[in-house]
Amino acid sequence: MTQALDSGRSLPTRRGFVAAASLGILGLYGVWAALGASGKSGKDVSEGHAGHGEEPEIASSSGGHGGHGASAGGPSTDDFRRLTEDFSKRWKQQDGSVRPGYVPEPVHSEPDPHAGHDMHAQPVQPEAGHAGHDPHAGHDMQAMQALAPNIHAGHEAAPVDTAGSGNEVYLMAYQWGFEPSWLKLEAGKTYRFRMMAVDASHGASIQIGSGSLITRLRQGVLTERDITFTAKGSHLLYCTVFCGAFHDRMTARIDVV
Amino acid sequence: MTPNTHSSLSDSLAALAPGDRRLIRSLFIAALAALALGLLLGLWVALARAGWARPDLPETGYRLLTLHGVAVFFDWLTLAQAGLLLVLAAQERKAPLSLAWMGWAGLVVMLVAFVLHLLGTVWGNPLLYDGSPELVAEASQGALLFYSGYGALALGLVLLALPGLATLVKARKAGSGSWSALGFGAFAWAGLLLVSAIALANTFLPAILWAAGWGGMPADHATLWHLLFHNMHYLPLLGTMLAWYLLLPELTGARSIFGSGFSKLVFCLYLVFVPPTSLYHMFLEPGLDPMVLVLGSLLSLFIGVPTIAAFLVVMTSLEAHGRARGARGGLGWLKALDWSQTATHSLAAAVINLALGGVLAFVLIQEKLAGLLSDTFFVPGYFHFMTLGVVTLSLLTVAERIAPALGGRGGSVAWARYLPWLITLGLFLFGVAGVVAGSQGMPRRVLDASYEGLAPTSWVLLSWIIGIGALLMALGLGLMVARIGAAYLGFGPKALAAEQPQAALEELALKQGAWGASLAVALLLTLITAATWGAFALMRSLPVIAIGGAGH
Ligand code: HEM
Ligand SMILES: [Cu+2]
Repeated sequence: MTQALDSGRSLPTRRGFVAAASLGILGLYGVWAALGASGKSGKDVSEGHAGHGEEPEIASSSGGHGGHGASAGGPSTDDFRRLTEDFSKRWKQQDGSVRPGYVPEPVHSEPDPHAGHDMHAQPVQPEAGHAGHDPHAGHDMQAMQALAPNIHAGHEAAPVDTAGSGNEVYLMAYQWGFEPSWLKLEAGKTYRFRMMAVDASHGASIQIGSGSLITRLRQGVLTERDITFTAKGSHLLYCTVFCGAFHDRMTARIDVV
Repeated sequence: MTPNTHSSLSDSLAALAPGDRRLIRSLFIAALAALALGLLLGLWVALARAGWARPDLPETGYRLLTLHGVAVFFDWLTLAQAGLLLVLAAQERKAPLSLAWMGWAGLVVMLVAFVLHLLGTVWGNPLLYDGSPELVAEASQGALLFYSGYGALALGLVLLALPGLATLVKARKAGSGSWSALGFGAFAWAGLLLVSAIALANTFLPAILWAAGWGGMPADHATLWHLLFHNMHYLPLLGTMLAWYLLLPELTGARSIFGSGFSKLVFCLYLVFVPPTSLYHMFLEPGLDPMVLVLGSLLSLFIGVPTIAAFLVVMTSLEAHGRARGARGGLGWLKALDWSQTATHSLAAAVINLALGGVLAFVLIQEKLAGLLSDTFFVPGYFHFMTLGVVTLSLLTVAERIAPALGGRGGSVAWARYLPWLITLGLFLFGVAGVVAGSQGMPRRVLDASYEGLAPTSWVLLSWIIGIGALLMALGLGLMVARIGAAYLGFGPKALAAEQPQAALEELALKQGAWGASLAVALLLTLITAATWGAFALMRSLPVIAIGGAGH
C-alpha cells in the first residue's frame, strides 16, 4: 500500500509537507498582527489616538464599546426620532444645514431656554428617556480622555453655545432618507455620532476620499461611533443596507468645514 | 490500489437502473434551466447598474436581483449538487440507487419552490433573497409565498440528499465496510446538505408563520440568515473539491498520491471549520463583543487550511503523474494534459478563479477591514469568482462529462474550449472593477450608484466595466449552458466513447519533484499579504478617524 512510509518520497509528495504548507495560511494572522489589527482591537485604537491623533485611520470594530451589549440602555425609536428632531431644530443654520456646536451670533440672540444646563452632557433632550445612559459612563469617560486633545479643537473657530456640547450628532435613518440630511461639521473635531434606523435596517456610510466608512444600523438599535474628520471636504452619506424600492435614493450630505 | 482496477465514471453510471439515470438527467436539466434564467437576470442587474438597461420601476430592478439570487444561488446550486451527489453515490456503489423515488419527489418539490418564489417575488415587495421581514410592510401575502418557497426548498433539499446518503450507506455495507476517500467525502458533504436544510427551515419557518399571521415577527432573522447563507456558501466548495477528485482520474489517469486516509482527513476538516467560521458575516453588526471579532477572523483563516490542502493534493498528484510519464521542465506536465477536452479548460479556469477569489476572500475576513468593505460591491465582486468561476464551472464540467453516459449527446466541439476562458475574462473585469469600486465604498444592491452625481465619478466608470464583464460572463456561460443543455435534451454531436488515460506508476510518481502547486500556494500567500496590506494602507489614508460602532 502506498500509505506505508513517507520515506523515499520527494518532499512535495509527502503528507507532512502538504499539511505544513496548508497550515501556512494561518501565518496571515502574523501579518494582521504586524499591521496592527490583532488583539484587543478597539482599546488599542483609542489609545493609539491619544498618542498620535494626527495619524488618520479608521477602526471599524466595536471594541471600545464592547461593554454595551445590552439593549436596555438605548432610547426607543420614538424617543430617538424626537431627539433627532430636537437636534436638527437646535442647530439648524440659515442655509438649511445642521451644524452642531455652531451658533452665528446675530441669529440666536434671544434668551436660550437651555442656558441652565450642564456644560458637557445631555445636549438637547429634556425628556428623561436617557436615564439609561449611566451604565456607559465609565466608557464615555475613557473615550473622552482618549480624545481629549481633539474635543475643544474646533471651538476656537466658532462661538459655542453653552447649552448642549455640540459634540454629538444625531442621525436618523428611515425609509427613505436621513435626518438631518445636510450636516456641517468641523475638521479636527471629534463628534459622537448617535445613529438609529427607525423603520427598517439601514446603513449610514460616508464616502471619504478613496474609501468609505461603512456602518450598519439595525432597526431600533442605537449605534454610536466617535468620528473625527481630519480634512475639509464635502461627503456623500448613503445607505448600504437594502431597505426597499428607494434604497438608492437614500442620501445625505456632510460638509466638513 | 492499482490504477486500472477502478471502473470509470461511465461504467458506474451504466450500473445504475435506467430510472436512476433518468433522475440524474432530469435533475441536471432542471438545474441548467435555473442557471440559464438566473444568469440572464444577473446580466440585467449588471446592465441596470451600468445605466444601460435600467427598468422603469426600481421595484422591477430589485425583483430581478431577488430572482437572480434565488435562481442561481439556491435553485441551480441545489439541483446541480443533488445531481453530483447521486453521481458520487453511483461511483461508490456501482449498482442502482436506493430511495430513488425520493429524488423524484425532491425534484417536484424544487419546482414547486421555484414557482412559490417566483409568485412571491412578483406579488410582494422585493425582499432580495434574504427576505428580511422588516421590508414586507403590507405585502404579507407575497411574502408568505416567498417564504414558503424557502420552506419547500428545505424539504426539497432533504428529499434530494437522502437517496445519496442511503446509497452511500449501502455501498459501505456492500464493500469491505469502508468507503473510498470520495465516498467518505460525499457522505460528509451530504450530511452537511441536511444541516443546510435544517438551517433553511430554522430561518424561514418563523417567517412563514409570521407572514401567515400565526406568530410574531421573527426578530433574529438577520442572524439566522447569516448562518444559513454561510453554510450554503461553503457547501458547494466542498462539493467542488469532490468534483475535482472525481474528474481527475477521468481526465488524466492520475489519482491522489497521498492516500485515501489523508483525503478523508482533509474532507473532515471542512466539517470542523465551516460552521464556526460564519462569524465574519456579522462583523458589521452593532454590539458584537471584540473577542468575537478577533476569534471570527482567526477562525475564518482555518477554512483556508483544508482548501489549500485539497488544492495541493490534487495539483501535486497531477504534476507528479505528469512528470512520471516523462513531462519535463517547469510547465511540461501542464502542457502534457489533454487540452483537447473542454473539461481540462474548465477545470484549469476554475483553479485560476479559485486563486483570484481566495486572495480577495482573505482580505474580507479581516475584521478591521469589514468597516471598509462589507456591504460594498467588493463582496459580489469577489464571490462571483467563487460561485461562478469555481463552483458553477466545476459543476458544469461534471454535467458535461456525464451527459453521454446518461443517454444524452455531448460530442466535443472545438469552440466550447474557449468558453471557460471567456467567462474568466468577464469575471476578471467584473471582479476587479467590483473590488476596486467596493474599496471606494460603492455599495452592492443598488441599481444606480451614481447618486445623481454625488458619488465619485469613478463609480460610474467602474459600473460600466462591471457591465462589460457581466456581458462576457453571460455570453460564455450562456453558450456553455446552451451546449450542455442541448446535449441533455439529445441534440448536438454524438460523443465518442471516452477513453480514460493510463495512469503512471505510483512509485515513480512519488519520486518526482512536483513543486508547482506548492510554489503557487507560496505565491498566493504573498498576494494575500500584499492585498491585505494594501487594504489597510487605504483604510489608514482616509481623512477620518472613527472609533466604536456599538449598539445598545
Ligand atoms: C453571467 C453570470 C452572472 C452575472 C452577470 C451576475 C451578475 C450579478 C450582479 C450584477 C449582481 C448584483 C450585485 C449587486 O448589485 O449587489 C449579482 C448578485 C449575486 N449573484 Fe450573480 N451573476 C452571475 C452569475 C451568478 C452565479 C452563477 C451565482 C451563484 C451560483 C451568482 C450568485 C449571486 C448572488 C448570491 C448574488 C447576491 C444577490 C443579492 O445580493 O441579493 N451569480 N450577480
Ligand atoms: Cu436604507
